Amino acid sequence: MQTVHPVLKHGGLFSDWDLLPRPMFEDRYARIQAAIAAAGDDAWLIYGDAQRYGDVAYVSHFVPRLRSVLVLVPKSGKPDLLASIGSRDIPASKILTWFEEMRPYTRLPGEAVKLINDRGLTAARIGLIGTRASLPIAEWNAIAAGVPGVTWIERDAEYAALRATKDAAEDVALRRAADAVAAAMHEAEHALAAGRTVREATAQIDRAMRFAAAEDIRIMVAAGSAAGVALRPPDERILREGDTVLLYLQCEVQRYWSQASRTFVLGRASDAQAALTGHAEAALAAMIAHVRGGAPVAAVAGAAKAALGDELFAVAQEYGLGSGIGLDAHEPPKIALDSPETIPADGALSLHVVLHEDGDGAIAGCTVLVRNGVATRLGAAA
Amino acid sequence: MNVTIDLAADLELRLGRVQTAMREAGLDGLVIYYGGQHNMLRMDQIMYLTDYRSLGPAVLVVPRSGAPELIMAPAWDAERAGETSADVRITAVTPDQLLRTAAGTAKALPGRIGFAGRPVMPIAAYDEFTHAFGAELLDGETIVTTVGATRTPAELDRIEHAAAIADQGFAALCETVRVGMREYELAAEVEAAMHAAGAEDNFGLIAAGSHNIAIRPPTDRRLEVGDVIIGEITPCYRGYLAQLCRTFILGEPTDVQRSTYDMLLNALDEGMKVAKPGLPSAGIARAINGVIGAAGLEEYCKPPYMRTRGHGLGLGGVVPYDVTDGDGPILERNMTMVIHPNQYVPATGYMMCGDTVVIEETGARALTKTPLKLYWKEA
Repeated sequence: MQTVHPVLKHGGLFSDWDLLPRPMFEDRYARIQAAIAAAGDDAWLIYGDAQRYGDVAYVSHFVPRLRSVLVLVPKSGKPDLLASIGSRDIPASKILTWFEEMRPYTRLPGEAVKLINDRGLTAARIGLIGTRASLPIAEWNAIAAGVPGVTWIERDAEYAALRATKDAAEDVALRRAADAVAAAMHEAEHALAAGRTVREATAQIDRAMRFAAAEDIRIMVAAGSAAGVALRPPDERILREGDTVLLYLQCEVQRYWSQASRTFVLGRASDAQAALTGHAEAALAAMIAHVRGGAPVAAVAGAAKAALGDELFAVAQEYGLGSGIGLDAHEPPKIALDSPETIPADGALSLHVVLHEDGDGAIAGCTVLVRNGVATRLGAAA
Repeated sequence: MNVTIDLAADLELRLGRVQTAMREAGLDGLVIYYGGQHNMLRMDQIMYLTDYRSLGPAVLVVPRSGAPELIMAPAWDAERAGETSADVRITAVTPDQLLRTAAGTAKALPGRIGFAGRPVMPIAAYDEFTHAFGAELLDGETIVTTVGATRTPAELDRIEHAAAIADQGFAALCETVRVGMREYELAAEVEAAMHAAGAEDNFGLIAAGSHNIAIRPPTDRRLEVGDVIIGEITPCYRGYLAQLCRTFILGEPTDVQRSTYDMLLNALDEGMKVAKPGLPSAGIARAINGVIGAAGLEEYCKPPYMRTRGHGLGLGGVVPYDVTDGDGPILERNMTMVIHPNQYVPATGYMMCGDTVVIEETGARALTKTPLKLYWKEA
């Protein structure tokens, strides 16, 4: 689900090398270099920014708190990382990566061209990852003009294939993120109370995730009369007795995202509201029941449709039904009826169902871990 | 803060100024792209004209006269977009329809069309939009940023509100800080207080240590007796940011820490004195560097230790942009900015001190009200 991107990552930024050990990254690095060689390339350039940093974090564990980052992985030898920071920020930034070297920049094109020159790649064949989706056109034009002898090849698909299967160590990070969301959902039971504003309540919920070592957070809410219309960022609406609150939470811990969503009623739910909440939860349960390694993604979406019926399913589709989740909050595969993809044997999905009907609203959502083909719902308290 | 501001009239004023600037630049239309990746130092030109802070990419098509059209996604956010007081037509689409729909709307405009957004528009999005538009797009990058150099009454009201929230954030820091808590827990307490007070976002950096090199994001480090805690607190209220920089010591400050901070307060005072309409923004940096340089720290006023002495702030980074001792724009009435003589000093490490100000006829008026002093408490 689309959320508001903040001006800066909201939370602590550090690396827990016990959670995600360096040998895991060294193995990944070796796999990436093997893929570069197999593709006949000399190097790959991997671009990311504060919003879409998964490709960069996969190889480096680095995450930019704002602006952008560029990683160069040569066919052999050590990597380089260009970060949009000042040189005085290097000590604090180096704790975020296992890479030994980091170059600061204020303007990316000049530094990227210098790096390519320094590494002797001015006539090389270089694969590009993440650039088309995220690199601003003005910066790309300047880089391409600065090294006219380079042959550029799109390598997003090859890199995505490497990322599609999650390492076993990633399970622990995903569980930690899910636990942070679960703690926040537990906090929400107390925070969402009549007489408070939505913003006051979500401040308390946000704090719970921050105390669980979140490094970024997203919250979307629909409350009161708006519960029947749409989710939105927290605002100054005052919660009242009898209100329904749809709460969508995403939390990032050690670069890994998790999501959970739940419907709260402040008081006694009407029969119609209770029924709608039941529909959302039943559709989520139906989707989870169809998640297993190798199963068609379309079957997961189809399970939601079967549980909801055509009319409610059409409402749920406006928000989407979810996607893969991990280093990015939204990763392949997208959960859709027309998806040709299958569920990876080792991966993670973010599933959600949002419904509106006759002024009522309901939401249900969770993160599902798939390991050895078997699905496990994360975040017990959610 | 003024509660009688007519927001609709304020937005109409902004649109009128932008359309006047378009005509002066020979443009019949202006297409503005914004990626939705909000940034403290980048102006959200669509928000400036529509008062809508988008969830994701959005495009605003501004004609030479009359109401602009906002093409936004996802469609389910249309109701929130429609709550704007601006006179704007809203077309809500799915994300995959956004650029083609926007190009179609832009193509309907006659004449010379300017474009703003190349610095943030990804390659794929640019290719899709320009292919669908099929004609030359002229440079319109600075039309809105130039008009938006000075704050309107509604903008100033929001920045004052954000500044008051920043004060509450620092008060929360003073109240909750204790030995043994993690840096990110302290940051969480500050941010929770500001969220509850109305902040929707925050550019917040809080770091601690016995000798800080620079400000940085909070980590899992636990606070210790004698830590120097530096905070750059920048809440966002309805799209507008204000910043407060202060230093807090967990334990009684040393004489060197006190005298160093007195020097920074003096530097801030000297910088404020030259923050007046008609004077160059670079003069602020020169005044600050003059005080710090006179204390024998001239080399620490330059990179890699220090670079800017403040920057434009409000709806993202605005004129006068970075305040350095080189070139800089002339200050005008109703510009807003943060002035911060934050400084690395070998004897104390990095210390922070700064306020958000508005440039008024008689000089700079601080909008953040937290008293200027070195804060501390018994550990």
